[in-house]
Amino acid sequence: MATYKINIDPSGQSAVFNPSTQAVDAGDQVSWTNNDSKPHWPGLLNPDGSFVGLVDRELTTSPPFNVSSVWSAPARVDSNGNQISYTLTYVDRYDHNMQGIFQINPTP
Amino acid sequence: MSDNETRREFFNRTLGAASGIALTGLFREASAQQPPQFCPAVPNATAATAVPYPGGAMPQVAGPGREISRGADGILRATIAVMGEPRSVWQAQANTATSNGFAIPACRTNQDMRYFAGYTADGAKVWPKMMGVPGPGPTLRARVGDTVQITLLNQVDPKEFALTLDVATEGGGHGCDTANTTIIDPATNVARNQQIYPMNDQAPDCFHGSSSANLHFHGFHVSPSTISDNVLVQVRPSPRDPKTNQPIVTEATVHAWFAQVFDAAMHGHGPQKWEDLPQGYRDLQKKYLQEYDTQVPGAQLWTSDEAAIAAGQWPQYYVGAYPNSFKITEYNQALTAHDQPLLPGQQAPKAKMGQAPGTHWYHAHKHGSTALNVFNGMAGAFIIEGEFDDQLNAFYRGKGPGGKGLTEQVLVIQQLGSQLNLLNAPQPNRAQTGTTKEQFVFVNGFPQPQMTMQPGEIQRWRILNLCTQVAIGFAGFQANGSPAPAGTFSWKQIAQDGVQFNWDNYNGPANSNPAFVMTAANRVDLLIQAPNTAGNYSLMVYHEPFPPGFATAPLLTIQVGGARVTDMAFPSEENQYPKMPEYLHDIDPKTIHIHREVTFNTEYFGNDGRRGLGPGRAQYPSIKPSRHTIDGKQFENQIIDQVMLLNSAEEWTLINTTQVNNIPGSGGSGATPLGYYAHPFHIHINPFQVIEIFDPVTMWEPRKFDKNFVWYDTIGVPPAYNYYPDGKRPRLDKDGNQVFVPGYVKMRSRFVDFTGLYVFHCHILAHEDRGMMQLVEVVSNETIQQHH
Repeated sequence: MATYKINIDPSGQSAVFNPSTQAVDAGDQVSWTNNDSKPHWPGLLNPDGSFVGLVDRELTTSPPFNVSSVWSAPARVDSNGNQISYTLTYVDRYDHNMQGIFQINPTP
Repeated sequence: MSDNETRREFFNRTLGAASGIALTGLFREASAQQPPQFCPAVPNATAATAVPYPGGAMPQVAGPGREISRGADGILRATIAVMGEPRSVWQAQANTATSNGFAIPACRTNQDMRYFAGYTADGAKVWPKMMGVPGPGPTLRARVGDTVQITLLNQVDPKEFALTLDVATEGGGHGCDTANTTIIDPATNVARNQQIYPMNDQAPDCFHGSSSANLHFHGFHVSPSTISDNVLVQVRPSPRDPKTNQPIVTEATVHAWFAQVFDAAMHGHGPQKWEDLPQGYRDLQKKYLQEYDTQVPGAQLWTSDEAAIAAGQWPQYYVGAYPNSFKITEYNQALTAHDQPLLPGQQAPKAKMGQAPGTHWYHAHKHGSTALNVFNGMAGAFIIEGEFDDQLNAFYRGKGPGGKGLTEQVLVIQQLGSQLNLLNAPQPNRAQTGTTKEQFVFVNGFPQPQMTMQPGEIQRWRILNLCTQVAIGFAGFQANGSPAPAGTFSWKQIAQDGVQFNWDNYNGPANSNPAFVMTAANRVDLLIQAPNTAGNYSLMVYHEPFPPGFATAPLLTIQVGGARVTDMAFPSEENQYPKMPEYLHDIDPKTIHIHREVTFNTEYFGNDGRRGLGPGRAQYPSIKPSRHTIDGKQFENQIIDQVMLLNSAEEWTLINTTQVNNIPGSGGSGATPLGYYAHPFHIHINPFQVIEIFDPVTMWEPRKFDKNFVWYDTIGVPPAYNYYPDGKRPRLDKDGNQVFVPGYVKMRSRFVDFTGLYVFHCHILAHEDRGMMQLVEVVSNETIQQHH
């Protein structure tokens, strides 16, 4: 298993996930660090538009809660129970145009 | 266990999940200063440019330039800095297996890990030799009677480790590290958040605060108080310069203040209370602790310290730097007021117990983060030399290869990795993930390394099991891939847990090529002689919690070659073997007036979240980690569970009611025990003598010792089992019902020389972090009160 850190960096009037695309393996751990002057909260948007955080709370603009807790990438399995690769797109709760992508691969 | 799941897979899945330890590992040997964020193309990598690979030459962790040793003035001066970096680590791959059932390793980059860097008194960096790969901390070496002066710096950058400050312990939440994953319904694409950890774990008995640190000196008979072996101290990371991101508190910051502290302690006037510390250091600590409290919602570190100071107690919280100092206790020499507070007018008593010279160690020991920090590699050998070494080396003086005498090998066995598996997402449909990993172990940071000996040569091996979890069972040698014929290697154990064997134990028939198990934290010293026949030999081991005798794997290989050594032999006469000092003689049973029992238990939960048999956390999403208790409860802050009288001797019965699950046999075959969880009992400050042991898995009757007791500071307490050792006859109660019969160990110890608060605990460190620990206090019966 590996650990990955994703920065939330200011970019013009908005902010970006950096790196915006991250390849991980199922079970790997990911955390975010907010370097922006506004709070952010990475998560998923459900089909009905509701927000599901990847971590417990929003990331503040100053330590210690500008660093997130851990999110561990889930596996996706086919009908035989074998893990498959898939893509997961996440957004910032407060700016849905701010997107990041996980390319999630089977656990090696 | 499902129909299509092998027994091995079942072991992996259940046992790997049980402890919270990611059972992975592997590390070391990179280039110069920059971490090599790549992995070698096994096996063509070179040690100079890449991460070490399985089978490569074993790096040395001791010897000139690789250890921090005492000065000629009898003072060991060192700075140990807690640091962090991304590292490349060998890990066991899920769903892979070699012919012996052990997983195939794969090298992974981007493993954020903390480590101990070591510096000498003049600031020269001694350790690590190579960056970007994990391994043990610097080896320390001193002599009995020496003074130890260690500056502990915490320079971890918390930003690099996901929310690992102790933000919650002081009121900022539930107090535990947190991990989540996401469940996405494949039919509707609706996602929901699923907490992985802490689930039912609660502070303080959960993984938390791993960016804090302290030092425990394992196997040391020194004071548990103030600046000695005080594991109740917690040192937060230094604040960092906002412009450079460099730590603000450095060795230079505290050098002058700590020099005062060390000098005073060496002369018997070490700090007994906060006001004894230098004013500048106190001001600095107050400033940064108050800043911390302001920064972290709910934190009350300075408030807590203030309360302790007002009560005349030693404050627990510090930032950036902490002084550790003590004199290595010498038998029958005067203790000082620094070792042991004296009453007015009282003469300093002489030590009733001496520090045994031997193979000891040190590690981070902050409750809630011990497992992760040691798993990252924050542990190292601490060798104490003395009369034993002098006499042994004198016997071999002028002998051996080049007439150099007895060669010493320090072999540090570790599990190494970046994550605890209770914080990794378990998967639906039993898809294999990080929760299913083999007990992958390293020697000196190397997987299955290769060392060399000359034919007939005798070496002294100091073997340290610094694994966070696994016990290592020695299962003999293989020659060129096949079982080696008897007599190829010969070995004799000369010490256990850093305390020498006496002549009778050394010379007894049981000590001829003994098979032995090193539970986590055990050390074994051997004299080992290479065969006269050149060749490649593998030292085979099995790993608990697999049951004894389960599949073996090479721990290391030994290339035997070169000129035959003809002048080395084991000591065969009593006068050739080091004398057992008086303070290590058997504890007289007539001095025992108090008997205690402590009971270790692990409670498991099944898929429905209810209590059940078998280790491991329930299947996703019904995740409920096992619960580890002593005497039916988990560790509690501010509660002292056992109180012993200074200079008394006691006999303790250590009981393990953790039930071994088993696979019932068929066709007359016996049941196979699963999940052999011997909880390793470890108590700080005072070692103990084992007088009786009962392992219901392997023993029909308890084994009792009547004399020549062996000293330990850690002993695996065998689990409870519901069969006799043949696996066929069930153990029955008086009503004929099959019952689990607990395993146990009886031991005797003397609580001498030092009063104070300290702990005993299970040395499966995730168990300790999650509550399998008790606070104890040794108190004096002396007072200034008189009655005329």
